[in-house]
Amino acid sequence: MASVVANAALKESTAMFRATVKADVLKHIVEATSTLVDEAKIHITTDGVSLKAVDPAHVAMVDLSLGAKAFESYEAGDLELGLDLEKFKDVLKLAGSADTVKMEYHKDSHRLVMRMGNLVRRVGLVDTAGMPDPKVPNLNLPNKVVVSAEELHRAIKGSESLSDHVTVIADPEFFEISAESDLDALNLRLPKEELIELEAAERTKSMFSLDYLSNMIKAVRSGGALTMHLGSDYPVKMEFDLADGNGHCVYLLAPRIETD
Amino acid sequence: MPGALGSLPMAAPPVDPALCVRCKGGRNLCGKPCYLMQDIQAHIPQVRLDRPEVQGPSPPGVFVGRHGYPKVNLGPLVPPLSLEARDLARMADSTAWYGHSINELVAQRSTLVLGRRDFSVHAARDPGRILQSTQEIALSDRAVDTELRLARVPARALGPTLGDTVPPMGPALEATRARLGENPHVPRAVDRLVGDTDAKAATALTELATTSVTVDHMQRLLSLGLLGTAERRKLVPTRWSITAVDDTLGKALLPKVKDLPELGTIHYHRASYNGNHFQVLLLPRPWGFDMQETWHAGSMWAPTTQTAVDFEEYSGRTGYASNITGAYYAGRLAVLEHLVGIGRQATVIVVREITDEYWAPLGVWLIRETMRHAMQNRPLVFDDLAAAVRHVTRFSRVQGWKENSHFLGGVYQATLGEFATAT
Repeated sequence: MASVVANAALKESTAMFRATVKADVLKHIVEATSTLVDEAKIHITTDGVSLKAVDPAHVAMVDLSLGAKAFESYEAGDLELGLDLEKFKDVLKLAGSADTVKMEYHKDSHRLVMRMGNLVRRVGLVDTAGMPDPKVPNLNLPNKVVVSAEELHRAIKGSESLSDHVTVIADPEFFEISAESDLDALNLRLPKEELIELEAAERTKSMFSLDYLSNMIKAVRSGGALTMHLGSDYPVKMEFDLADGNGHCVYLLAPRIETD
Repeated sequence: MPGALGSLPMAAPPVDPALCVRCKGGRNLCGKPCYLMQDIQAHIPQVRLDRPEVQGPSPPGVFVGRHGYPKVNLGPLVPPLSLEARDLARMADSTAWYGHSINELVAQRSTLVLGRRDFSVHAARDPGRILQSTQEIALSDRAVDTELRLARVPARALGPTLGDTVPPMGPALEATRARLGENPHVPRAVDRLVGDTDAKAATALTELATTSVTVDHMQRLLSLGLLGTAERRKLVPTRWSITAVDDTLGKALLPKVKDLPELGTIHYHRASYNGNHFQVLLLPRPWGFDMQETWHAGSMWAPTTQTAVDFEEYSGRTGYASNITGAYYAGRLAVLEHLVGIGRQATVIVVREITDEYWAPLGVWLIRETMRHAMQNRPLVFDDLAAAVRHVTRFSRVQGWKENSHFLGGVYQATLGEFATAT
């Protein structure tokens, strides 16, 4: 009994978070997460921060982590913070991308105090009690493609006027995204040599909702590379780095399936 | 009266039938007087009046017409003949209409005379005499003895007033006076929410839904500008208020349903009434709603077979369900009530088929009540989607109903839970 009490006391005493980070890094995280959920539970440890969230329709998931190195300064113990992402997004609009943001968790008022220059914004936190801890499903995805986000961007943008979903094919020789309507069609085929990487033993084909895919690919940001793990009529796992390689984002997206 | 459609023209229809099933005589999509509606009207008994006074128990019934909006014409519905108590009870509320034959309902409803007058939609807060009497009838959950004085006695017998959303009623005539012969019976919850000028109309409706006040009664209250915050109370045409109530009540249930666990198996429900056949599949997936209606050749709006479809995915609709219109919201409400009742969410597929037995439009209450009855029936349970689909096909005359369905036809959105095991 005594040790339990001591542990709890220890946990209480380490429930702190004080960090400085580029506003742009925070903006990127919020952008990547808020396409799926309105609120998120942020796990904070001595090594960095992370979050996992599933969208309300259980179609997509984000698993994001940011190492302590992504911050200019970082001091933290074990802690969970519930963030209203829409509100957080608005708060971050107060800072320019190049600005730094100082954050500190105030336990007594249960607020996150953010300092941007001389501006101080106290952000009320959301209760994390009702928020789920999603488990990342274990998926068997045979094919791997690494592609520049810019190429994908163009294909996705072009597809949006044709359909609400796209077909994604990974072949030993190429990678292809296509969309079609009754009259029109769009197709982006990238041969192996124009891809950063292609590992496909067999041809796989899946369809994905453009609503989800387009927001996810936007979160890669231009200049970045996106790794996609694919199967047939199977979810896609997409990964990319953020904060100059000190952070990592994984998306899972369930496919659309032809019912006939 | 049944078989009235035998007189429909057999030559090429004068209007594209695909337009007619979306319009149902109510939206004037072809720009001409509705030839189908005229044909139906010709088969309904007419009312002859010999005096300007019409006195009788209003079921309670009121009507607000949309033509000329933001001016509306409105008034009470009063039967010119004394009715048997039994008949009157039957006319009171759509929850009581269910089960009665189309001929019976049309015959009874078409005797109700609408004594109407024009009002600005903003007159709700400062009503003149006829409006005030109409509002008092709207408050009541029981018949109210009402006396109308008409501007003139019509020289000939008059036919009914029909719409696709609203229940049938008798001729609409200009009135100079409407007086109540007794006090309306107002349920306590209605009295409280009508008196609450701080509650928004949506809030008031959601609260009334937790009491025994019926959807019809809520619709009367909304229509006569008796709900909502003080400065926003307006008269709402009956047709719009019916869909507004169905939509508002459904929207209030949706967040609850989305919080419920998914159904574990496939449920199948069925009900038929007055030539309207409903088959409903509940699939073990997140919330989604998909409704198709097929008007078989020779049924009211369709000289040739026509199908219309509307749907919503998990995140809901942004626009009006303009293919199926009011029936969509009435059906969705019935399904949401059921899902809350069984404590599960599901993807819902509704297949409605209409045959020539349904020869006059009775209003969207028919969809709401038949769907409610379908959902009350014990479901058939399937583990296998293919078997459930075969079952629907067995009772369907629609070639390709599955292809018409948004969730079964083309491409459906899978969820992550359907793949692999969690680690």
